[in-house]
Amino acid sequence: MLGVSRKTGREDAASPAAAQERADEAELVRRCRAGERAAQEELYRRHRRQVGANLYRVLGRRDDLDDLVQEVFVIAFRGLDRFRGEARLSTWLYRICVNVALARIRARARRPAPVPLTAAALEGSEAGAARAADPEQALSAKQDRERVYRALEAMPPKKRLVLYLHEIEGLDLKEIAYLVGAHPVTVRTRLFYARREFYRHIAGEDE
Amino acid sequence: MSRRGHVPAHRLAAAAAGRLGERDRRRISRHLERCRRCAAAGERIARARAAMDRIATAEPPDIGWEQIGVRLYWETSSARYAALRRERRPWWRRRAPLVAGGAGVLAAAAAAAVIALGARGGDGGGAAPVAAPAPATSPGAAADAPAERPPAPDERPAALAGVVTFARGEVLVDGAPLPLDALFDRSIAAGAELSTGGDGRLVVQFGHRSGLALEPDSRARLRRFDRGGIELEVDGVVELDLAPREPGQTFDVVAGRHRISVRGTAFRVDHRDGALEVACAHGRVVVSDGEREVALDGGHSLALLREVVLDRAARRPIDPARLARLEESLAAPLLPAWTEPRALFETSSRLEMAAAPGRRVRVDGAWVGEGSFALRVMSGRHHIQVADERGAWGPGAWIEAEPGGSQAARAADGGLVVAGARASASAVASAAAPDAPRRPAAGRREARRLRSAQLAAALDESSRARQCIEPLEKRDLAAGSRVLFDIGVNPDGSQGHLNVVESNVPSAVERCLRHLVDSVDLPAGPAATVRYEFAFE
Repeated sequence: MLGVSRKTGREDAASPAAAQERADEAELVRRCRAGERAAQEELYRRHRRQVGANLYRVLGRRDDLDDLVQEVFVIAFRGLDRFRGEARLSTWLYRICVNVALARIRARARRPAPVPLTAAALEGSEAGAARAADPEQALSAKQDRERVYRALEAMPPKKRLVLYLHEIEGLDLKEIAYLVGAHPVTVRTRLFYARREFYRHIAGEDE
Repeated sequence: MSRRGHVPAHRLAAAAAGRLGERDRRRISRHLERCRRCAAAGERIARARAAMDRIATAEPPDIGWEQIGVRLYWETSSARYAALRRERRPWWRRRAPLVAGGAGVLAAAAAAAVIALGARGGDGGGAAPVAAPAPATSPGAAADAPAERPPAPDERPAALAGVVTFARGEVLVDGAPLPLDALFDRSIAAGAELSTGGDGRLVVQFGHRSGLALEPDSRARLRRFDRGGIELEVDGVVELDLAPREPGQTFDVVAGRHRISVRGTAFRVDHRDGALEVACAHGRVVVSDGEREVALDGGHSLALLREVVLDRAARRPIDPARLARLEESLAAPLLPAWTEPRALFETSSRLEMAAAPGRRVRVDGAWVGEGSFALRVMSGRHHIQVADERGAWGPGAWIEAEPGGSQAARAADGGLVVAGARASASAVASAAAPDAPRRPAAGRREARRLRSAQLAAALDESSRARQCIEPLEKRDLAAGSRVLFDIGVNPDGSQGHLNVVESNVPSAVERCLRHLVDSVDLPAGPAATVRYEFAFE
């Protein structure tokens, strides 16, 4: 059984509330497997914002976000038979998000980035909220955010994901190992080199 | 410390995150007090860490969750999957029930198969060329694709096909007004001429997030429509919203002597009485007159009066208010997902909306049109809302769009009446408004029987068919040879489409027989889609 995580929503399985929640989830999964449409809608409604947020944060862009959210749920519905219930459904979905994001990062690396159509394509609700406050602060926050994503984009996809999951999402090695499907020792090695690369870029030593 | 006497960036980050011991932290602090370079790096890292904390709690932007839900249902629905499997099965594996005795009139079972296989366009009275599959851009669709159609013998780029997603007022295809059934159940292919009357608006989608909207009193002709390129001749106003094209695919709009070339963009072309106005909302287009070229970026327009030479000076920024209006009008009601037109016909649904003129209507939270219109929606649950006189959105009602069906909804006093669909509690009690009348099945059968008989009379005893098969006869290979054609016959007797459905002969023989069928002139009569088989014994 995996450890507790603030991001993936796993919690103490022994508490009655958690046990009830897991039972509800198992029932929902059972109904989805049976092809019940209302259950699929319910699953989508429950998890759509979490999936959207995960993808948005890991990729840092809103363009194609709707396609990616759809892709995650299509994969989830088609693969629900393989969900064994060892992890929470949200964790399982997170794992799919990671794989979809990894595929997108790789695809993006293979072809030149399209010209953003509008500033909004690069910004999200977070930048928008910041903009509404103090313009100078907002600009600075936006530049810092862009710097972080530029540094991430300069990294190889696997390292990028590991660094993101650890340094930004705050997951531990074991959780990351489950999400990326690698051994924890591999994750630790990847993280070691990823940190060096990332912070060197952030510190401006590459420039 | 590094070899150069500076603190490595990852150590600075570790110190900022509190991952270092007290001794290391103090050493780094002391170093930062006297090293400006490391202090600056530390500052950048601290700001980045603050940004990373904000990223960790960032909420996703609003991305139209309801529309994704509809798409998702459609993507995973068994009806769509079945339609795609049927559609993408290689033609040489398809088996359609045929009338006993080889060539001749089709039996009722075969007729049913013709309908089931989606040959609906011919029934509507118009030409319905069956195009090669349009590119399926949806990731899920791509994963499903079990097989591709074999390449055409002449290696020409595969034909594209579009579907009507919205129609309002007077709409003509190839010069003839079509009933809604026929309009929504046919694909739009190369050569099609679309036009609208004074109250008309027509939206045709031809790929994932790609479509054109023909505004009132306008005409557009698809001069070229294949994977290699799309060429649209426009007279009037057309708005285009295009996803980036496939590599190597061109997209040109021809407006009089000017040509507007695009990749992925949203723009509007107004070509009336020789004057031209091009307004680009986003992306980039290039306007040329054969000699000069002017590039037009997003947020810019170009206006040319008749006989005025193309010049950069004609380029103007669009003011924000007009740009906002343009953006809204360019948001044509397209299907949020795309696959082959035939699979779409079977898995999408038609919504016939009746509201007072000027009343705005939105579906799943997105504005789609005003007044009365017909709209193609994906199968699944949809939320419809109609604005009141003041423009405020009402609570709306839910409809259940069945694959291949149609639903009617009308705005009534006090709410929205949904007919032929499950309505939510917010909807007014269901009224028994009938669906649009369909052409009786008996009439279709009769038309098919008549056209089949006419074809049989022209082809059964044809000596040219013998000539076609001669190369096989010489080698004693003719026995058992067969070629089955699917033919769309228009009301004027011309052939709308001519497809080989099954064949076990060499391509040269097949081509010869195809030319033979193509050369047959039938008298004017009812439109029908029929099958004709050459079977040699």
